[in-house]
Amino acid sequence: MGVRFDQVSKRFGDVIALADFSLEVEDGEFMVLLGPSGCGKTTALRILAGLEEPSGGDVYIDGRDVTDLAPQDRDIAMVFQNYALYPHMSVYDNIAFGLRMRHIPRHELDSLVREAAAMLGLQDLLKRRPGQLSGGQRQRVALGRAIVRRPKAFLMDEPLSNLDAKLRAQTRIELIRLHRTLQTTAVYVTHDQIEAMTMGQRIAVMDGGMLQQVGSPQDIYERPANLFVAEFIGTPAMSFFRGPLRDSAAGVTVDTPLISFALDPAQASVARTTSAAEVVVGVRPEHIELAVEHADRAAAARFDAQVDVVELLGNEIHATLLIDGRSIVCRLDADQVVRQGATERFQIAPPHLLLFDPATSRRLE
Amino acid sequence: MTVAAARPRRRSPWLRQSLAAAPFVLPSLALFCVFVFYPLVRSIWLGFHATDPFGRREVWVGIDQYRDVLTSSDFRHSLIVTGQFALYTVIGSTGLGLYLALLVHRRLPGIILFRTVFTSTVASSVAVSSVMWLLLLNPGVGVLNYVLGQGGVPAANWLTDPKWALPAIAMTTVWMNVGLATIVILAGLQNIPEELYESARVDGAGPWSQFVHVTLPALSPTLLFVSTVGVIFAFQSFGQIDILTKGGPLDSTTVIVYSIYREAFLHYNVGLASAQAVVLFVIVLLLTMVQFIAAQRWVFYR
Repeated sequence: MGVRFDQVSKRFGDVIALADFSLEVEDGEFMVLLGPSGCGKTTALRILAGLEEPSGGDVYIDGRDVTDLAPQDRDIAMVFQNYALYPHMSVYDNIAFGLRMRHIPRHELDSLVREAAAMLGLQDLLKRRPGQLSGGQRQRVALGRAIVRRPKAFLMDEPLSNLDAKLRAQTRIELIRLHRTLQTTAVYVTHDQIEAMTMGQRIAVMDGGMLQQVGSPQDIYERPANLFVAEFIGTPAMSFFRGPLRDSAAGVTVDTPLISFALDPAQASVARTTSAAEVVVGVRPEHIELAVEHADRAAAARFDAQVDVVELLGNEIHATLLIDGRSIVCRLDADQVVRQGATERFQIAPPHLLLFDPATSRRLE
Repeated sequence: MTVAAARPRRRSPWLRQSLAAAPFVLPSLALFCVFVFYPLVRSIWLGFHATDPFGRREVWVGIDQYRDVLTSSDFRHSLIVTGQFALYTVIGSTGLGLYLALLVHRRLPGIILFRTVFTSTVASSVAVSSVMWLLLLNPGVGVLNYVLGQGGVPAANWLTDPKWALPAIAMTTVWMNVGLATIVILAGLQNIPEELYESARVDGAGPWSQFVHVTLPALSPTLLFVSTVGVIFAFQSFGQIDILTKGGPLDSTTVIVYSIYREAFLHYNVGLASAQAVVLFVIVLLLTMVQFIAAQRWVFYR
């Protein structure tokens, strides 16, 4: 059931767009393919749709090998980035088009179209043409065209990227509701990690045509598989410090040029198993705190830094800190007082350090 | 206290803009005046005058001459011939142009060669094309009869048989127009977003449905343009008729423009020719308007 990629690869001339891509999407699951542009996510989706032929590997939909089937025989529906509505057809005809192509009887077609339109609040717009609709309405027509056919899977290629920020947030919620109602397998391509984190039941992070990690949003955020995922996920981005491991009677430390980190026992035992002499320590901005505010907490590291830029976001503060000329970002509560230009003492709480092997870039665990 | 009067008078924005635009517009306005507007007004004026057999002495006859044109059976005949000619050439060049454009639209290695070949007729002059077709259509040594003969079709006297002369000239004209039609339609095809086809494929549309539901509607403004220009071309065709048939045989290819030419420059009846020219102008104007009104209904602009 669901959708499965089995060692799918795709080359465009010399460029490898997708390399040995294997991914299983459960029946009814909302899977997000996330990655920077050129990472192969759209290629993967188009191969699943049948719009692109894989150079190798197989694609399964609902347990059936569809690798050699044309798009229309795969029983899928696709929502395109700029909607791809038929400009000369009314909203009604746009939604009905797929059903007409499948020769659904007229009365049945009519009730299906009206049902889909009602689900998306398009009842009053059925006679309009796409040119007379706003971006958000067009987006919903594109969704209507997809859901009306009750396909085995929805494929969505950055469907929210042409909407303004407010509408995007709204449509995100509508999509989550829609998926909850329909329970149809969905594969959703985006480069926007907020969309991925909020909508995906699982996220597949991709880079350079390769799958980097598959997991729940929480998994991906808290236990990134490698340096790429760690850096790509999270805004502001994680900070990294590289230095040699030192094992002494007092415990295991990582002595980077800027900051010395003391590992807690669990991290220490992980660090002891690695053959690497050096490790990379990753710290999320929210785990850097003002030492004066949290003097009672144990700390893995304490350091002085000059507050370079303070960005007040209302609910929180992003402060760019300078340590010996290198800037890192930390996230503080809005009620904390940091003055631009002042030098403050900061600390990092122990359990939040992530350790990576710089040679393989994989996280140590 | 007249504050307003104290202020210097300012030119209206309209006047200022017009003065600024004048140097840009004047050169082409001058050309239009000399070669379009003056001849047009002069033709209308001449249409109200009768000319003696030597092409002189203009006598005011009012609208009589226009009435003569509209009621004469010769003129009606040339109108019918012109209509048929327009029908053949517009359908032929638009249809063939669409077909060729669809053929060369796909990206294949070496396709640029075919694009060049299919559109090259746009670069050949009416005279050259006509002379070339004069040879191709020659009943004795022409290639066309030879090829048809190979297929068992009896030879025809293309340019001297009243039944075949107009179709033969229409064929020549289609060949001459198809290059432009192909270029314009190809440009239209390349403006259709690829996503529409992909969306249609996912929706279950086969090649024919994609053509009917995506290509044709998106191409409708282009097809309107090609056919409108085709009608205007057809009503203005002269060179190929003069070279291939001179209006014959039995006036079977005497289109309006040729009839005007004959009246003015062979019979020296400038007045009558001018009256015919003005009537032709009105007909083309009306036809173009009808096409654009039809377009409001059938053509889809994005």
